[in-house]
Amino acid sequence: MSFDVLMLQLMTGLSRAAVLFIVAAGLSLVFGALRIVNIAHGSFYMIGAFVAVTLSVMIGGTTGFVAAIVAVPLLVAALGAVVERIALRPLYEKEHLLQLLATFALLLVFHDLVRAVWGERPHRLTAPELLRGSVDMFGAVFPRYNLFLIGAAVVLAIALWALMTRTGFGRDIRAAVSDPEMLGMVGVNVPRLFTGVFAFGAGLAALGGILASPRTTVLLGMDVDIIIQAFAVVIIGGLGSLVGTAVGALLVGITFAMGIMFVPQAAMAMVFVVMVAVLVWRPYGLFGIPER
Amino acid sequence: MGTTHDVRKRRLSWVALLAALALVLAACNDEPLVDVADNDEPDDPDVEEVEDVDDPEPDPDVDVPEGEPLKIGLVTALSGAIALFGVANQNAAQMAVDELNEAGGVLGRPVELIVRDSQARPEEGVAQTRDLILDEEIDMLLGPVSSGVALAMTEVAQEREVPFIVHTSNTEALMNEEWHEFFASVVPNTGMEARAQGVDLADSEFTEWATIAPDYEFGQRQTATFVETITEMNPDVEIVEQQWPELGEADLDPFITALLGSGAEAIYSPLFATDLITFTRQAHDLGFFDRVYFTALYETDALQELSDDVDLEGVRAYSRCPFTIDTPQMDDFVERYIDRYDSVPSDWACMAHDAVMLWAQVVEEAGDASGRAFADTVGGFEFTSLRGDTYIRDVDHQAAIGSYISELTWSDEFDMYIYETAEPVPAEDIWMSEEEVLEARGE
Repeated sequence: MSFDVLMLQLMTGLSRAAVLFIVAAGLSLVFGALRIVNIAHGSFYMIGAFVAVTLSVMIGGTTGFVAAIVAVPLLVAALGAVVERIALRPLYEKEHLLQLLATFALLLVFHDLVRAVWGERPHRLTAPELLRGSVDMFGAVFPRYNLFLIGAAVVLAIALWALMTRTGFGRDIRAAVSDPEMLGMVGVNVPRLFTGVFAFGAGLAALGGILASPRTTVLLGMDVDIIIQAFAVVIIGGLGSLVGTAVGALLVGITFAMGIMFVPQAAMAMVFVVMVAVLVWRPYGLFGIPER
Repeated sequence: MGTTHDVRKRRLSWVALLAALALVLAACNDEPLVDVADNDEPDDPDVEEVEDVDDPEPDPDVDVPEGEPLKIGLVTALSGAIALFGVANQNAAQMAVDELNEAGGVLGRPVELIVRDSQARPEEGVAQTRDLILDEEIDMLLGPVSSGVALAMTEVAQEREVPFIVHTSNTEALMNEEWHEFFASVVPNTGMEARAQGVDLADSEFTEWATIAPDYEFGQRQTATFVETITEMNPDVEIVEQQWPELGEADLDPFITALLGSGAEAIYSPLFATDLITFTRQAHDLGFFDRVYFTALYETDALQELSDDVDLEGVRAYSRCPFTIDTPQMDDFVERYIDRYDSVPSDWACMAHDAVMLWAQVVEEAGDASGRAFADTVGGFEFTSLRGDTYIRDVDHQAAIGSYISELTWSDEFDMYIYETAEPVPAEDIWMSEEEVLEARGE
């Protein structure tokens, strides 16, 4: 196994991690603040991709792609706000099992909705000319779009960090993560904060769906595929922790890519071995908040 | 802190566990759906939606003969990931039925097509099949897309003595352990396809081979047969790498990089439909096609979807019924299909048409539409298919239709890559011998 092949594989692992981070960050925030295991998070990922396809076809070209990246996460965030208000808010005081079932039901509803609107056939989201093709790297070629993905994830990570540490919204979220019951007492409008966080998480999922799409195929079922991996990421990183999500995404992405190289048929199993090892060592995840 | 927190934390871990369970359940529920999509029958390509396809109602201009109709039941996937294949089946079967009616029907009686959705699920396929046989009293059964459904349907057909012709699903088990005399197939089966690839490529200049296949029964079986055939025919051939992505894997980059890093000169793949399309696009951006020789199941739908995204000139592809096969019947069929459905016919359309025509010719020959007459006549029967004159082998009722292998070349006329030549590896070179078939059945 030569060095350049390893480096190339590392890069493919990083691009996988990039998408996982963007999606799992939303999942982790929603769990951290609302304490809801949102299985329908994958639906927002899928809806984001499908709406982006329609919008970018309507507008066309680079403008279409950029418009999709800007507008679709906002649209899906709005959808998320409505969903939170109607389907989840009545359930906060109820059993967790009910909440889980509700988000599971949402996953099924959105799946059928997407099928009704876009049909069974796969669709394609085309990247702008600028991001297509490949660049030379380690004596081989590497897709330009993957570099863009890695860059986008880094920029987003910095932006999220700034949001969490430098804004009031971020401060409230952090407060909700560490002690939601105190939050109401100090005068924060908790229901509104929860709606905001849920919408924000949905927007991140949609953004992940849009960014992931040009490299692959937009089709029904991408919701469930992503949610399983995103859960592995947040379980490893610790629910509610942004740094944990980043580390979790890197671990999952790179473990998978290297696994393919050395133990092809057990690559996904290796990801779950890592997950189990983390759970045994730190049951609340690498950067999760331990039980108080 | 307080106990409520502890309780809640503990509950949360249960919820997380439940969530994981729910997810696994969801995944498992989904899997059979695709999983049974055994052979080649995949998730669909193409940008338009299934709903856009013209309604395959009987052609109103056709004068249907008078009398009690002969009924054909088609059970195929009209929803789910492989619905595109089922829609092509339905379109072409309806076209064939209209042709028969136009020519005065079969045995002077009109022919009617009744279509049911199997949802690509074996239990649904069986329920629909029973319903068609008991309530509609069909005279012949067509379908389905996935081999899992086919294996379930073939039992019902046997029990009720209804002729059953497969045209899309093609597991070799249908000809071997699950075979019965009311069964026939117009598709080269899985074993034939993989052996054709092995035969075709054994004396190529390449000896270092790698494989990449979807990680389930179909992919494993085809790959194993290919490896067995090529290494047997050319002892210099060495398999240096094998990759097994999940069906529907969206990110194939790590697999492709691993293949490229393995030092293989040539790569064989039974990936199909959406997986193959994803693979092709991602492989292109990793410089794959410039570095290795590649052969895969590029059928019409996949090629239409890929259009000119990726330079596939010279890639060696295999399929079951490319529409460029040079026979007068195919030329005529393609023209009429485009006329009616505004698209070139896929392999799945062409073979469904062949299945209806085989049945009609057998019934005319026997002078009787009963299952018994079909079983007694179809073995050794010679008929004209869109793929030329052929016959049905007596031992397993497999049509003597080979696997089509060719280099791809761009066509301005169709705005897609097409098969440069459409010559099959003859069925006689790639099917199991009669002795092997009997042995597989334990006879």
